[in-house]
Amino acid sequence: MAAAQSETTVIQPRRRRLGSQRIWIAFLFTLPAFIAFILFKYYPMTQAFYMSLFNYKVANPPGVFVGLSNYIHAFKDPLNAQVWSNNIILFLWNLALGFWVPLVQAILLDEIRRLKTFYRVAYLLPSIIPTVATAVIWKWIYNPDWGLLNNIFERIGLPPQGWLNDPSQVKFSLMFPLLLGGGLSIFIYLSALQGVPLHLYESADLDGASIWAKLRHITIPSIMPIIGLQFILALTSAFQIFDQIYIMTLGGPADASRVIVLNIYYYAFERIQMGYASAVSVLLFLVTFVLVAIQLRLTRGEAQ
Amino acid sequence: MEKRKLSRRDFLVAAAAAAGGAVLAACQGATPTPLIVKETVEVPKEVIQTSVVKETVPVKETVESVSVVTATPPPAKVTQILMWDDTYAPTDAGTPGAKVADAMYADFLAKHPEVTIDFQPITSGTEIRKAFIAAHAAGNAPDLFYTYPPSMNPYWDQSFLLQMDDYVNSWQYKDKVVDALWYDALIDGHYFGIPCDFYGMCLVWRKDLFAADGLTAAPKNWDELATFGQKLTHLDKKQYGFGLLGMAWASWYYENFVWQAGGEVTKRLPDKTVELSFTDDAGVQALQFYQDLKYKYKITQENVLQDYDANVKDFEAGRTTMWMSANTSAPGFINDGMTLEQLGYTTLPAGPTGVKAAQIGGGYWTINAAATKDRQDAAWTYAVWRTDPNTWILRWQKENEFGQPPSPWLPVYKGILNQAEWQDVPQEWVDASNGTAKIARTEYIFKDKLEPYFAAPVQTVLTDPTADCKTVLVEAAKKMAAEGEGTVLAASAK
Repeated sequence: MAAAQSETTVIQPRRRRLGSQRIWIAFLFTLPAFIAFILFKYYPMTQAFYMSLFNYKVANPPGVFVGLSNYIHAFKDPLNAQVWSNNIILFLWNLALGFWVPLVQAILLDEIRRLKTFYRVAYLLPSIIPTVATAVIWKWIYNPDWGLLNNIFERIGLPPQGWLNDPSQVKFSLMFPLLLGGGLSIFIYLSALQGVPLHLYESADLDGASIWAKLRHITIPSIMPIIGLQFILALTSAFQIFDQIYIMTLGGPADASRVIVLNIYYYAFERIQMGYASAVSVLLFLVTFVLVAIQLRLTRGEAQ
Repeated sequence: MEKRKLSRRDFLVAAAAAAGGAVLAACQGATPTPLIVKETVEVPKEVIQTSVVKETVPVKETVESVSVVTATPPPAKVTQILMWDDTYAPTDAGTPGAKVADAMYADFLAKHPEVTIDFQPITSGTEIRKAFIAAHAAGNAPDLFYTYPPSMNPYWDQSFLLQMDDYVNSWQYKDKVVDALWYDALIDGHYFGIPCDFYGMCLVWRKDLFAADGLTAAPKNWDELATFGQKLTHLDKKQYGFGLLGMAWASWYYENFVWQAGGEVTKRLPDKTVELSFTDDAGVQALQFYQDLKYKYKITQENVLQDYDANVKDFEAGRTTMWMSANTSAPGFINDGMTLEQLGYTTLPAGPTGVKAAQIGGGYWTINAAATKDRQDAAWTYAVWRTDPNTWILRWQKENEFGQPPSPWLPVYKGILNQAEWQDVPQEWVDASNGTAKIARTEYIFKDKLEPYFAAPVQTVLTDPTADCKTVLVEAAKKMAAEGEGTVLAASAK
């Protein structure tokens, strides 16, 4: 009894030391990332909010304190209204042309038995091409004078199009390359698909369910959390789009593709209005935050 | 004996410590190694001052003595200044332009051993402004900077620029500078820069492509521009008569057409506000001409979103037969493979009422207000050397020696310096430069604030044949008036 008691007494303190050591080790592992986050994420965010309260002067910061004037100006600026609507329309085109493509490709890939690895590599490779390179290539494909697309159109008897040069076509043209799919999204969906229990499909087969019925009642509901996550990523990407616009159109023609981040860039570096640019970026952060929060709540509700 | 194994706990601790140490080491950063690039050959922006020479300063003897430099004892103190240079990339080392730049820098060092320059290559065009602003925010902006005229006001507003009254008032060539060139350097009655070099907008044309269509001279007015353009446009070959600029610098072209139509883009009113005058008849007529070039005469490229560099490539590749460019652009074209025989330069065509006008631009030497006094003095020393007439002469001589293509010099000084004495430049180019100098105008008031607003109306009329030019200009003017401090709408926009 005494020996058992002493064993018990010896074991308990060892468990407590292991627990505190684990916490300490975990803290040490997360510390570099935490420091990086503070330095490169939270400090700039705080600094941006601070700058937005001033008519900020780069050489002699911070300049004159203006309070919320920059925010009021952002709401009154008619160009801002157009710019926000451009981003929303680009997001809608993204949903129509690009959001569902990797999901379909992943579902089809999941069915393939032969040369599975080859197809996976083939779909993954395009994702390693930098966005800027892709944008330059598509800019040339869309060139109305010498581009590949109009060349093909002419050969098949169709009239040449303006593409990036046409205000009514530019947003569609910017999002059209998404139709080709590919990239990391396929693999995210593929991983999710492979986590769906096989017995659900077997039961459905026994009940005589069609392919569409299995898709609708088993596959999609099972991977809905991943779809929700991808939707959030698509939403934030649409509001933060910059590279393609900067390379391909610079916001033209006639501001038809001018987006929020390009506007921020313009006010910061063309007009040297750092305070106003910071205010618009804070507003962008708040809007994105609210949208993501709503989406997360909806996704959580569906999961429950 | 059992080998001592590293326990899992010890491994985790060691790995965490290593990661933390790596992060701390990375945070220190590497010591920056600036790329030392020798003196650039600023693409020559000069024209032979033939028609305005009143007296010639006997500088030839002085230049001959410049090349003979006797050794001097090393200075007590050497100040190094930081300078950005956008025309001599490391990859251009060994080219004629680079050799000219090296020779000039050697001359500077011989004359001013107390100053050395840390040249850093930097991008040019629209990107340089962003880099400059970021550098000021970081505290490592160059001590001496070549500032474009439209950038003078915004940089002054941000306190980037040193007030240079003391320096300029002691400068021996102050009163020799062409009066108009002080326009953007004088702000609130104080000097913030000295003119370095200037260019004037010309019509550049492909003589070989003109000849192929039976044309031997460039158009002299808008009507000829349209009719010549139609003759030169061959859609089967994707060859267009005239290259238009509709991208970020749209107003740089547009202002010339407004002046040629007899109007103004903006006007300074007696109460010091700036009227947005481009909504008047002349501004509308100029934009209508743009639209007609595209949809009525069909002589411009389809791609209105292409930038200046794409226009250059189109011209060099023969996809456009004429466009507007600086009188100093010839060396760039020749270095890219064009020949003297292909290149024609002439003054911009006259507008409907016979008015001729052309924009002049260029750069000022400005000094960093945040630099130390020593570095400011050293920067001034370099700026004065660079703008000295003897230095221009040295440059032309070195260009001859190393085979750098010549470029007409738009006169910066009144009554001194004749490029023709030192360099062979095709007479046609000289005539174009001199002719441009006579009709030259500095850019419109508030260009730095208003330029981005012009892209929308220009692109609208170039992408929509039904767009009403007056309507789009009034819309742009209202946006400008809502944002631009001190701007007011013209009566034509109300």
